[in-house]
Amino acid sequence: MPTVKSDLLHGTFDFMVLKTLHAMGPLHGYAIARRIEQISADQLAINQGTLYPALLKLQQHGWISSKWGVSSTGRRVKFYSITRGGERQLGTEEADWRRAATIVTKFFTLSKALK
Amino acid sequence: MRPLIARLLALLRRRQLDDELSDEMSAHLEFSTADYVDRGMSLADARRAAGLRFGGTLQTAEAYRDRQGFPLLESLWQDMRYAVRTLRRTPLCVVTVAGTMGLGLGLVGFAFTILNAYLLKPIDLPNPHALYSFNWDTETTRRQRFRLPDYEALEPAARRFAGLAAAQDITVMQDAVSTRGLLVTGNYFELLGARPALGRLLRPDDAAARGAVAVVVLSHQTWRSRYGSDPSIVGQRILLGRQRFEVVGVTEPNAYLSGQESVSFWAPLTMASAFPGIDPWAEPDAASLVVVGRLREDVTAGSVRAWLEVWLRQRFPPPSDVAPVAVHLDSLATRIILDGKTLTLFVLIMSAFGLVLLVACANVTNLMLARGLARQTEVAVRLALGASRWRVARQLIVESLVLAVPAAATGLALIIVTARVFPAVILATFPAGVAPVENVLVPLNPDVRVMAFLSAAAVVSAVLITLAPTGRLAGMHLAHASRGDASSDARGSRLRSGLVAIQIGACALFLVGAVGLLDESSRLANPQTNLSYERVSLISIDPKVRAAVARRLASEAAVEQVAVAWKPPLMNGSLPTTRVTASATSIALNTGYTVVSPEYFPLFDIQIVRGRTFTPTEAAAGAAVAVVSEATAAALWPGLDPIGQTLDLAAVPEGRADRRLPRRRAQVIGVTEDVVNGNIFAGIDASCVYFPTDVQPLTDMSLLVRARTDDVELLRSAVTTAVKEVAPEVPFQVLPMRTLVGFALWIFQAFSVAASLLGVVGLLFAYSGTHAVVSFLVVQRTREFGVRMALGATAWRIVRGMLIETSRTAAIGLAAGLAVAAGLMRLFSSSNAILPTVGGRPFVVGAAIALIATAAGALLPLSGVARIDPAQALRTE
Repeated sequence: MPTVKSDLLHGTFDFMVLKTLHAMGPLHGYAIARRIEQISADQLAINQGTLYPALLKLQQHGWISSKWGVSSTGRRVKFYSITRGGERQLGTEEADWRRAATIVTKFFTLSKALK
Repeated sequence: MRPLIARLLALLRRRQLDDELSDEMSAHLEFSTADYVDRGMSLADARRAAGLRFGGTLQTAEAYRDRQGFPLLESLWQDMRYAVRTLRRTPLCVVTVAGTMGLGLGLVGFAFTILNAYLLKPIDLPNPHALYSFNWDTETTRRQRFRLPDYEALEPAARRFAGLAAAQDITVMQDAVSTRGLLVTGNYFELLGARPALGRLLRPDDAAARGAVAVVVLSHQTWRSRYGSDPSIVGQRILLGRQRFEVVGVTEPNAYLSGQESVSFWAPLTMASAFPGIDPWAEPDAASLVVVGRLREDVTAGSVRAWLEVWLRQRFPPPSDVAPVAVHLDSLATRIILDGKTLTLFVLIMSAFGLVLLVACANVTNLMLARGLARQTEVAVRLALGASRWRVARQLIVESLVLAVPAAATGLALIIVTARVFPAVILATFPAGVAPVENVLVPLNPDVRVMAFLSAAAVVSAVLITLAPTGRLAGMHLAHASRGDASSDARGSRLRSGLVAIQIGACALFLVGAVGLLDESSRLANPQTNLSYERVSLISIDPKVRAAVARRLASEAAVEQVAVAWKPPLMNGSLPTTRVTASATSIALNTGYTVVSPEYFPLFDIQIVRGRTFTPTEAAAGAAVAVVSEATAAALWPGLDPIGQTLDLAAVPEGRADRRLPRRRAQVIGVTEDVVNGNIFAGIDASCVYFPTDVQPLTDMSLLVRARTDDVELLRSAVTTAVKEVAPEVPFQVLPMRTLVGFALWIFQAFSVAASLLGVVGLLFAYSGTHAVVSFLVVQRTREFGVRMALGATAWRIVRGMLIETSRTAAIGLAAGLAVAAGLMRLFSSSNAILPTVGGRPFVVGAAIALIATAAGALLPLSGVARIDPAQALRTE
């Protein structure tokens, strides 16, 4: 099964994390990583470890917040949840992404038609 | 902004954050492992798989930390702490570097402090950068002034100015002392934005009508020195010129413009008729006004100059004799106007002092190189552990920057102390009777500019002293270095020798200058002039009344002799020269000449060796006769009798029309002994021809008076009486030649002291530089020497070898230093008459002192060679 190169997704990873937290509510790091992998049907070829610097960055921007809690298995874990600012950011990024996707799609259909 | 704050906050709890991350990562791996186990893997396989899926925890932690805090700053901070720890272990090195570099920084910083105070620091008035003075050059006159009608026409036309004001110089006698004042338009002080220290300044209504308001504002300096800081001065009436003026105020201490240091008072221009000199309303054709203006904020000086040029061309179209050739706008923002000439001087002085700093840096670089070698093993270990060379280089640079801090502090302390001592020394040594020096001294407190300059110089020096050690780092062989094996490195030793050569060269350069100047000042302490000038005074007075005053003075009892000359001897530069040819021998000579009245010879007690001087008739007619000096006679008529010979004069193309010699041929009537008619620094004239003149009203000449006694005051009162009789109110000055010569010598001695100081510093550096390098070499090569001694070489042989090496370095440095010194001397002696031409002595003495210092620096550590025990030295192998 072909996997998606990580550099292609550079910059979209933040978006995926925000979207996941938005959809699922507060999650700990492993859960976020698994969720993203499941949604991408295991086509993402990036190390799970890269999630943590990304989470720190989102936190520094104030788009997510974190709180220590206890997981379903009783393990002490840090839960991340999206903030108001994060939701606003997600809205902007989603709109940007859709616009960009539409343009690219249009471009592909147009070049197909010209063939 | 937000991430920045987050990063800043993270700095405060970084350990906690580190712990949290590792906790998070281990939770992650636990969950991942559990998932894999659930899928049926063995625990070991599951752990492995989880680890693979996660990627390296170390890399993650590293990436995490890079996002957290400020990694570059933190590592710089680490470098700094490391540097401080390392340096603390070698306090002697720190003290040496801080002292050496601090001395260099202090000297160059002090030079900058002085130049800053005069050339860069804005004067103490609001927005001084908008203040300009305006004038123009004509075909015949430089810096043409304005006539009153010109100024009145300019004022309404000049919309580019926030304001324009005019001022006129005047001089009045106050208790037989000439006092300088400025007559100004009523808006003058408003335009400057000056504030009074006492009372009020002049206002427009003070200058509303001619002769209406007799008020005056005193300068702070005059108020202090002449009126003893009298607090009740405001309201008093003082006599100035022909009238009493009411003192309305005193200016603040430094509220004067460039060139107005000696102005004692300001009165309304409308009071001009109360003073001797020009009244612009009575003489509307007299160009006596200096115009200053404040530019509006939205216009540039360039556009104003262009506009003024157009305005001047329209007002004075070409046939006019004041048609503009060049228009000047001089910024009045600083104490001295910063133009091309002052900038050149600025650069020259800073270069001389900068050289001291450079030599200090060379000195310290050597120390750093030696230190670098001693620490090679440490560096090699760090490189072997994976530190990049850039990382190690950065460490070295940070170390130098840390070293630069105490150096800059030392420099600053030196500047502060010198800034206090320097004016005090000047005040204490300044010859009495010349202009009051307090007017010219400005506060020398180190300000923001000085601090910035010092910091920049310290950083540049820090980088300079790291360049060589860092450069060596690049070429370091890890394997060699970690063994501590560096003695085979020839490149490094060449570099060190080069640095020592620079120090010795600079030392020689400074010493030649210092010895040259010292020689001259000791010669000038008892100058051989053959002139008896001690009782002679120069009378400075309006040329219009000079003849009358001269005639009247001759009958004063206190006066022994009155004479005139185109140029007073001993000062005002060297003699003008002209080309003469002796008719009898056809020998041509470029000879100095002067034009004097017959009394000039007895006035200065110049002996007539043969023949006679001019008769009054010859003097009055400017007859075609000449008196020559003995040296001139010997050069033109060797073995012949000069009396009765004729001289052919080439036309003198240069010089002003009123100073051209009218004659083409002159007959020699007398021979004098050789004296100094030219500059006192140049010594006895190599040649001099005297031509006759008498007191003439218009020509620019000096009136010289010889008193019967040494008492200047007696002469002053005699001159006062004489002037009062023939030209009441005309200001004059009695300038004793003793004082003037003393002042010239003082300036010269000040130069000598400064040069000697640089010489001593250079000497110190040359000595310590050589000492450091040779001692280092001895330590470094102890093993080699041990082996050689074990093989039969004597200690003397080794010392001789080292001495030869050092001498080679010294010779190169000396040659370079002496060459530069010779080049500079030639440059200066051709362009500047202040500096005397020196012979070979300073070069020999300077080179010898530099050599002795170098030899002492080398021999002291070399004495250690004799104590090397071959057995001991070999055992360390």
